[in-house]
Amino acid sequence: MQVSLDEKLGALSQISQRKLLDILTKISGRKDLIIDSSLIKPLERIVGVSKLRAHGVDKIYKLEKGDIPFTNTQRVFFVNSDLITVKHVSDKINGEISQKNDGNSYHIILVGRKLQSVVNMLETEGTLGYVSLFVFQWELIKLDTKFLSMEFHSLYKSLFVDGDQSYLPVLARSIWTLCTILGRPLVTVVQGKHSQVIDKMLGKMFEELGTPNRSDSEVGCMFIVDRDVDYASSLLTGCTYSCLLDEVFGIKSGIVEIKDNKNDIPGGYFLSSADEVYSQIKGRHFSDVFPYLSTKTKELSQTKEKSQTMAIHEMKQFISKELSAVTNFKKKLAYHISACESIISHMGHRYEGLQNAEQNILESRSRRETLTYIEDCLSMNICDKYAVLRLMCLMSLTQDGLFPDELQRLKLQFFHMFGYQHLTVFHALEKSGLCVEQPALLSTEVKGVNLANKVVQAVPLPTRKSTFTNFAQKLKLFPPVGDNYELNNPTDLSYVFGRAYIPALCQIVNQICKKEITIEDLPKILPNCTVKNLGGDQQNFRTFLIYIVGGVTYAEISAFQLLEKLTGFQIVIASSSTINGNSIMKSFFQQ
Amino acid sequence: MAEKEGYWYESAVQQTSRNFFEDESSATKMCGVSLGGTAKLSQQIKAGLGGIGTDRYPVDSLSGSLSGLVLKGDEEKVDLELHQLIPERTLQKIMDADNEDFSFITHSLTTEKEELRMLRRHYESRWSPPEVDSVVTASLLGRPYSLEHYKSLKHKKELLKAAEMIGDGDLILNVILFLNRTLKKKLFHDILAASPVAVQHYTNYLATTKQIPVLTDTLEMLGRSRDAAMKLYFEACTNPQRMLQRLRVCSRNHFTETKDKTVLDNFIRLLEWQETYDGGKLLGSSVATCLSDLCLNHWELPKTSPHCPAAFCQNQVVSDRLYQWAALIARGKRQAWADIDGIFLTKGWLGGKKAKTDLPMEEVVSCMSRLGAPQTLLSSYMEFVDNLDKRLSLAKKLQCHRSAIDTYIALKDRLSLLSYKANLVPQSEDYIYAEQSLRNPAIRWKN
Repeated sequence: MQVSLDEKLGALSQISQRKLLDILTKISGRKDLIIDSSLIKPLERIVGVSKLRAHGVDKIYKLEKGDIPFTNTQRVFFVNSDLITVKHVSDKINGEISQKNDGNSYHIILVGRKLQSVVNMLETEGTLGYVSLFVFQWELIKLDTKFLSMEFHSLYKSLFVDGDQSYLPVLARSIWTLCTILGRPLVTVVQGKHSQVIDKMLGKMFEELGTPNRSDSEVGCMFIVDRDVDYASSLLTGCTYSCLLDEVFGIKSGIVEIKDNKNDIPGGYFLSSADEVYSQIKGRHFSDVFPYLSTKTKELSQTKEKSQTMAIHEMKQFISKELSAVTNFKKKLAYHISACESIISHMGHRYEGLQNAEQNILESRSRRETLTYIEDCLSMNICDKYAVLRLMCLMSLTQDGLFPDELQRLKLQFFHMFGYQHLTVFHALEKSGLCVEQPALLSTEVKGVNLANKVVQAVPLPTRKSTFTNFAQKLKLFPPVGDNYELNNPTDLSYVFGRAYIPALCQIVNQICKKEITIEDLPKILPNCTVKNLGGDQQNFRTFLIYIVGGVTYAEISAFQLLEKLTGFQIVIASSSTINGNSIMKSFFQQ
Repeated sequence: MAEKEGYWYESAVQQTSRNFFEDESSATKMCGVSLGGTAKLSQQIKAGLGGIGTDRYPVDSLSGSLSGLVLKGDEEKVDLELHQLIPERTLQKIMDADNEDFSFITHSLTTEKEELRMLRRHYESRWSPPEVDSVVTASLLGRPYSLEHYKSLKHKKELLKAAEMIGDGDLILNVILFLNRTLKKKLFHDILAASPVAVQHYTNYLATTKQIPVLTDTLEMLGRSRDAAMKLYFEACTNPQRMLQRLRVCSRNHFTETKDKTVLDNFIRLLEWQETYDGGKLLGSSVATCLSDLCLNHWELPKTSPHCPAAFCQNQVVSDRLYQWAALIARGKRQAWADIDGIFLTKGWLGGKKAKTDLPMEEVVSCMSRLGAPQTLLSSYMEFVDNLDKRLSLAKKLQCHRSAIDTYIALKDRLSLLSYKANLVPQSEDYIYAEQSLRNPAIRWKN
């Protein structure tokens, strides 16, 4: 039987499920499961309630501050392996034990890895004797066709804000499993500091845990890249339906929750390709979503009219065969229409201004206008603090930093609007290189440096190109201006950003597919990039695996999916999590 | 703090615009799709559909069983069984990788003699440090290991180096805590100073476990006083009761960088001011929130009072635009339209009035309209929207007919004015004005 690549990726969730159920089997008897609320959605993708029940789970509770009722003497905590969460669990267990010690037994399932600091803490707290510890390292979770994610949403912060590398082995392991199933890729491109570390670990794992049993490979070329290779793609506002859903509501593990004063729809909604409405519109430019929804609605009302004139036997047939399908379809349609409505009411008032500002920033033009726009945002409270910061970071990124007095002025206005306590946010952004001062052209000791800077501001130097501009031009990330481009029938990848910009990784793969560049060229184009060739025929591979360390955006996913259609290559996208500009900015607020 | 901010948000563009477009939702557009259009379609489809999602509880959903509702799309087509997807041997390999005793399984020894030899070797070497590489591997694969036998300084350093080489953060931290436990301060600090990655993990750990004094001392020792200052600042901000006191200590002892210090000193002045204002009701609020409150409740205070808006702006070096926007909204809410000119206008050269603002005038006018400003005021401010096209579309949107007619005249666009007139109530004041203008021979129409 021929199994497709995508079906094979479905094995990953089943493996995760088996691992988890194995652990639950080891804890014999009936038990309460207490889940860290951030883990509910990923777990939803791995196992259903009935399987859990079949493995002895009786009641399921959310891990919360208050008391958790006892229904069984066995209590299993299912939590993230981080010090703070586990300390909370430890306190809870110690509290329960001191209250009534009537033979309860405790188990902690740590997600990810057993961090030594966590084990030491449990030892210090005296909890270790009472609990048994398990580690559950789930495999990549398949969220959509050829799209995999570890759903570690705090990983960006750990790596790029804190510089904490504790979870890199977990990512390396996820790649190891993937390679064990699909075979070792013929070529591996590794870019960026963290990816280099992961690659080293991966090599060690092949040594210790074994290489794939198969010698062939279903993946021709694997990319392991750091998120920071293309920050622009994560700071810009994507224009496809899935991008905007994520932008406005935040999609977690492929589940979205619409929150809106008017259209509040309780509960979450599974976004998957099995939903025929969603699979039709997810990658469309937003301007092209409404026409589809509206056409489908009209078609439905025609069906309804038709049904009213049906003869009895036709009606019977309709009710037994089609009605539930129609109602089902209608519900999905209704959901996505409400979602669109909600998106417009959240973003409509500022969308045009934002697009305009982003475009100007990308192309380094109308600097004054952009600054004014940012200041307008700050004084009139047009958007939230994350959106303002994104623009500032984008500006800093594309122009090698903001002028010192500009930055100071914007910072002050930011503090006035959102509070002085955010001084540390700018410090963290500066350290990460996301929002920095442009190094002054003149030594700061020279008097009148302010004047000099003002002159620089007033007279743009056309010859000097920023690092970003150079990079973008080298890779042709700004699409050529064409007149007859239709956003509803995109022919290049820039449509995901309203024709302003092509996500760098998508463009690289695109150029390789078209043989405009070779893989061997990449170390010259990308910083800190190495290429490893296992040998074999490089010319003929048709499959890419792209693993982004630190998070992938829905814009990139949409662009890759279009690229598949345009070129006929297969592209598997994997990442530590999905990410967008807002979540990146939020990472700098939690310290 | 968060609740208080609601006060300001209430007046923000985003919120008010939503109310405003309730009636005129066709005006909010995104990518050519209007809010009104989607709302209409939404009603159409929901008609005859008993709400979305309230009647469908998925059977197997976790979130469903935890929080009530989850709408699940159709099940993706039933997955193939695992054994159909991947060979058993591959699956076994993947499952084995999680096993803590993995090495015994794979390297199963052939003879008892060999096994005995290996065990003896283990026993004999039980007091000497294990190979650095074996520790690294064990950590990487999640297997138990011990550091206790690394006694010599040389071995300790090698261990850290190996941990850094592989880049396993958990191991790096574990080693560094081990070194801290087993070395005197001087030696430990020397090692830290030579290893930025180790410092990173160590300081993260200290921050997470709230060992702030150790953390800041370490940073200071490494010459990273700005990082130390920021950490103290962050900590100060998390404690509302002692915030002011702690920030003062920061300012006195830790902040040397002038730009940061300017911000901090502003903050301290703000908190001091808030303590004196209205029983401290705004303690911890942002400058914008305070300013709104002042403009709403203390507009009339003399310039000499520290609680008058102008004095507050001076105290906090508030930008004109923020002041003007806050004042506009506050005075508008009070319907004190006479105050508006004072906010935006200055005397021009020849006694005429000029608008002096960095804010986009069309936003100012829209905001006035939302707050219910009289038409005459709107019309007079409409004049300050320099871009005629913008002025025209704004005038139309706000139904400010007089301004629309004037703009058509300024554009010399007779035909458009004609068709605009057709939509006006016949014989209304605006209608007559349009008619008069159309007949006015002094206007040189372009069409």
